[in-house]
Amino acid sequence: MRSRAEWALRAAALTALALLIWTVVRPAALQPRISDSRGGIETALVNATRRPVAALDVVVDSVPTALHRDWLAAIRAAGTKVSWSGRALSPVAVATSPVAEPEGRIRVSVAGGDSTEVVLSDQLGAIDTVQAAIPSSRLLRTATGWVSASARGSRAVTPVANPVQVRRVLVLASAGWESKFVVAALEEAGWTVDARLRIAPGVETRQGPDYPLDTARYSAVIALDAAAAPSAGAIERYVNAGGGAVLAGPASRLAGLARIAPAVAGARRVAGPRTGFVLGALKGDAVVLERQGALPLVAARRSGAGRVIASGYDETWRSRMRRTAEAPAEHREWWTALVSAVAFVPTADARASGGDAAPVAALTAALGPQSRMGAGSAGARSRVPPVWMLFGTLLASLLGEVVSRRYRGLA
Amino acid sequence: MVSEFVFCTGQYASGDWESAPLVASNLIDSVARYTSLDVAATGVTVPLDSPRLFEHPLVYLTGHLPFRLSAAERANVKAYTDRGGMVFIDDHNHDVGGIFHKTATEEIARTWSPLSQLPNTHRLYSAFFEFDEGPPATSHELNGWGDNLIHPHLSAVVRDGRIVVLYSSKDYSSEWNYHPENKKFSSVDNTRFGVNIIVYALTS
Amino acid sequence: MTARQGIIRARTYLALSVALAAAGWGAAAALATGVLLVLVGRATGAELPASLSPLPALAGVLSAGFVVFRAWPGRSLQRVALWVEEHEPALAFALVTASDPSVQPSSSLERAAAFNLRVLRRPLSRMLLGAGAAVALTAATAWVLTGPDGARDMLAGRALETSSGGAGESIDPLKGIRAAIAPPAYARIRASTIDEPSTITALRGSRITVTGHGSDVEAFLGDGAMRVSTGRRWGVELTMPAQAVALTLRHGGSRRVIVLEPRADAAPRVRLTSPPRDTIMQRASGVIRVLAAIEEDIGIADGYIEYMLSSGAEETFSARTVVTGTREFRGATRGDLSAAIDLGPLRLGPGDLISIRAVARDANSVSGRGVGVSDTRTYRVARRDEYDLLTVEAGAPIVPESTVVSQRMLILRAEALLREQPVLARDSSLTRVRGIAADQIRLRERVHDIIYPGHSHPEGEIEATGEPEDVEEGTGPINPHLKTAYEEMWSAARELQIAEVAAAVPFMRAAAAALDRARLANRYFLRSGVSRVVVDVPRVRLQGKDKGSSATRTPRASERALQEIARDFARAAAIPEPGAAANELSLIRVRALAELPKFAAALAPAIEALRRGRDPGAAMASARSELDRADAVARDGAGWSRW
Repeated sequence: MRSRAEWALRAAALTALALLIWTVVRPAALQPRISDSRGGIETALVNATRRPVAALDVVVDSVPTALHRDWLAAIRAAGTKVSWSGRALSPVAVATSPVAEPEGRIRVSVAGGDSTEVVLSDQLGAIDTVQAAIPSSRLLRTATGWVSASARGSRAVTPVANPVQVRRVLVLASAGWESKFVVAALEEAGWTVDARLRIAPGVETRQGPDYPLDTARYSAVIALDAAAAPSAGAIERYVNAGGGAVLAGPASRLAGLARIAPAVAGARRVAGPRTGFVLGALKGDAVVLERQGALPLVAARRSGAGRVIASGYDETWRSRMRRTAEAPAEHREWWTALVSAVAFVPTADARASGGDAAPVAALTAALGPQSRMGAGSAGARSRVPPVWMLFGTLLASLLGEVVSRRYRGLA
Repeated sequence: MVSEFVFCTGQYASGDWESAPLVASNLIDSVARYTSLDVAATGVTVPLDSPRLFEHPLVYLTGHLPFRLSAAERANVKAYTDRGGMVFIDDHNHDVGGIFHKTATEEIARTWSPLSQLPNTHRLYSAFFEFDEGPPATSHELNGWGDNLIHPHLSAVVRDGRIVVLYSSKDYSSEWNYHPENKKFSSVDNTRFGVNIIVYALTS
Repeated sequence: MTARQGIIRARTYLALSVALAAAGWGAAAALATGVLLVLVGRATGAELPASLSPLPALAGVLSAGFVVFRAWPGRSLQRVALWVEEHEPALAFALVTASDPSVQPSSSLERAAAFNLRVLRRPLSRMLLGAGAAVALTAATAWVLTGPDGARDMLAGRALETSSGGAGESIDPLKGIRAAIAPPAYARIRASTIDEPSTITALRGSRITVTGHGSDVEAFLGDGAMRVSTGRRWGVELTMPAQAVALTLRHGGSRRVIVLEPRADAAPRVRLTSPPRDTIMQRASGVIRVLAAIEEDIGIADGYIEYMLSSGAEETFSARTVVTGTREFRGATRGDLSAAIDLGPLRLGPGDLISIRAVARDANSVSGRGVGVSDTRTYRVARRDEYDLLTVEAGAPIVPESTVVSQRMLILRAEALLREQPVLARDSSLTRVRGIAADQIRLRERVHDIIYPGHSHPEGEIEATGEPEDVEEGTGPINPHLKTAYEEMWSAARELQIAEVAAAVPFMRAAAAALDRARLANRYFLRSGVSRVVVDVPRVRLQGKDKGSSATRTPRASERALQEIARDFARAAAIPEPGAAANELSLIRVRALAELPKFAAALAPAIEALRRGRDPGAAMASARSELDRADAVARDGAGWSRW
């Protein structure tokens, strides 16, 4: 009996020794697992870097930082098979862009992949919460430093874009309620407005100096009716050189602007808060910006280096004169948005750099899509017991055999 | 034409708003004679408490009798001017001691703010025709009607440099209350200042 | 002096002494309590709450009461006699016996009961000296701890004023600030105090006193320097101005900003309840009963009924004003006015009119009395040439009553159908809806005939789309209520034609209401027809001899206030030190009160949180949200510029 036991111990010791040797000789068989939830990703990455492994499975409950993502990508590039998994992360992305307007607001856009709530905040604190599944944007006056969008496990950060400088705008129209209130709305919004308002042949009300129409001085020209006809050639040259033009109502029908206009105001009118003409003769590259049902009312296109908007609305002043508290502000916002959309901005593209605007997307781009492996996944996991267990087994077996031999005489 | 100028006479409940019915057609005629602005062939009359007031950003008011605004009229016309509308009120009595002037100035102060004198260098007087000496005198003033005064100034309530309420004690209502065909009998068209008022309203 | 007389005199001396001793001990107790509060305040280093300020007075009253309880034997002669016997045992109760009213006085008793009032000297002196010593000791202690001002404050019951102070200790004069607000006398509002105010909101003209510990404080109201009183506490006195302004307090390099937010005294609201509407009369007779109701936020001073009599024609008009029914209200917040106007003696003729209104004034003695007026009711005597154009009896309908009744019947039918629709078969429901629609259209045509007499209307034409025809130029003034009724009926018919009964009912009700209004008061729309001239625009176009000239236009001011406030807000919110951030935000709030009231209201909790050391995150986010939403600024008359 004793001898059988000693043989068994001897066999166990030899087996443990063999496994230990195998572990040393064949390191690729071991698959270290890194779980971010234990907060040890930094250490784990260091270890995986010092001792290269054949495969790496990263389990995360929040998106690794850009540094860690780059590190994992580097490990992957060095030949290790890297996969990531874990509980579902909420993909979220955030971007800021300046609005081409005198007030210098910033547009913050947020998008996500599911229906979680995203908390928008900046250096000053929380701003709002939005539904990530619905891409949304809002205009902020007070965004400072950076803007972040945080959802379940993800935090997208982007610097606040620098505001842009806009120049003057020129309004060409006949004197009337529409021109009066369009000029008023633009001025109230902070635009510097030059105006030429025709009253009689050779008689007009003028505002602003007599500058030539070029991008050195003007960000946009707004033509409201046939009074802009004598300036059609200048408008076309200005737009092709990079300027912006808004052709509202009858102005879009001017023959001299036919080459640049995205559409022409037709004869059919629509009612509503803003009344106007349905656009027709849409050019192939025109983009419809506003509709009533299926009827296009505002369309835009590029012409040369500039942009042109055709608007069928010719009585937007009626929407301002509605007896609601918000009517003047809405009228101002609408006209500012229209002009901002085409305004020539002299500075270079002020897209902000830095930050981590779409972390889940960046992780996927670096490491590929999330694997289905999670906790409990076998994959290439090793079945070899850990080294300490093998060594312990070896030691215990040898000791047991020695003790058994020593006490033979006492049996 | 949808974008044309429509002359609007305001109706108010307390007095004789309709005391100068031919002013509208006379001024429409003048606008057509001197400018190329699109203008409707007839005017409209709109109650001061009606939402339709907001379709006409210039409204003309006159009368001889007490001028008192109801709460609804006051709220409506105040909102109207807040949006950008302009009110032109003329005392058809030409009498600063008369009932229209007293009640109208009180209502203006209560609804907006007290009237201030408009300087005769204001843009109103050069908006289309040039009136270097300020508002032209009317025949009623020159003939000693009413308070027997020639008022050298108009009054106004101004907001951010824009006239919101223009008030006249010069009785332009009598001056302009005739058939436009009768213009041919005058060597000087006495409605030209009315054109200035309309052009100012359209361009300010 | 008999024994009884002696006892009475002794009682007098005893009463005086007890009173003096009680006062002395009371004062000592009050001073001691004050000293204790000073020591507690210094030990804890905190400003003690205002609720502890009555404590010294309370201690004094209790002590005095205790002394009286212990030392005063009672008012009865026997008790006083007993007290004397205690201090003069040699009397052997003879005095007590002599004081007994049932005992016959006798010479032997009088002899036995005779005593010298000097025996009272020792006990009374002890009583008074004890009290005096207590007062002296506590006063000396207060003097040592707080100085003569502090001792005086404690004696005056202001122990808390000195609880945190002390000779040789350094204190922050900008902490522990208190504001006392005394509204103007006419408002009859009690004075109040605020500790550590961030904002002081009070009626314009209120007297405000801001005080704090220490000295060496500068004060600025807006940009103007203010006089600061010195002493144990510094103080600034000012009157609440008409516009919001910042009160800036400086001490060394530190600063604290308090927002002064004035509350305006609104003018009275006056509502004329009788007569209910304007009226046209054939003859001016009878009595007009005038009733008005007044409401005021602070207090009504007086009110009256005013009516104007106007007469004239063509170019000659005259008028006079009469005031009646004057009544004083002495500061009540609600009131009524009434008057009766007898038309007979006024002798109004055709074309004359009487304009009636109620006027009320408040008692505002600071910015001038606010005047509230009611709507005006006008009674007019019709001219002869107007008789066949309108019904001139007061209140008589010009719209046939049957029209109003018919509209109400239609509403009832529609509502009944709505109730029954869930259980009705589809065909029956549709049949009934079509019936109501057809009747509504017929009624609409009747109203059309009233508005446009002589004009035809498409008979029976069912129009599913389109709008009712607009005012036809040249037809004369149109009753706006009838026009409204007509338009509402059009909308109702349209909904009924597509079987949308629920959507149609509101239009039907609006039409009924408009018909009611048209029936009751629309005299000014029915005067003799205004002649209209249609201008031949193409014919006269540019035919004028005179030519206009080009003019220049000046730009309209942009709303820079919002941008500047937003920029400054971002800057202030980024300041890490809460006190400095609160100061900057307070200055922004002062500007925002006029330009962006919603943002200003949202900013107040954020400032308060920063001052109190709480987390301002949620409040700041709310303020930012208001700022991002803010746009148009609606200015009232106070902001109107002249040029």
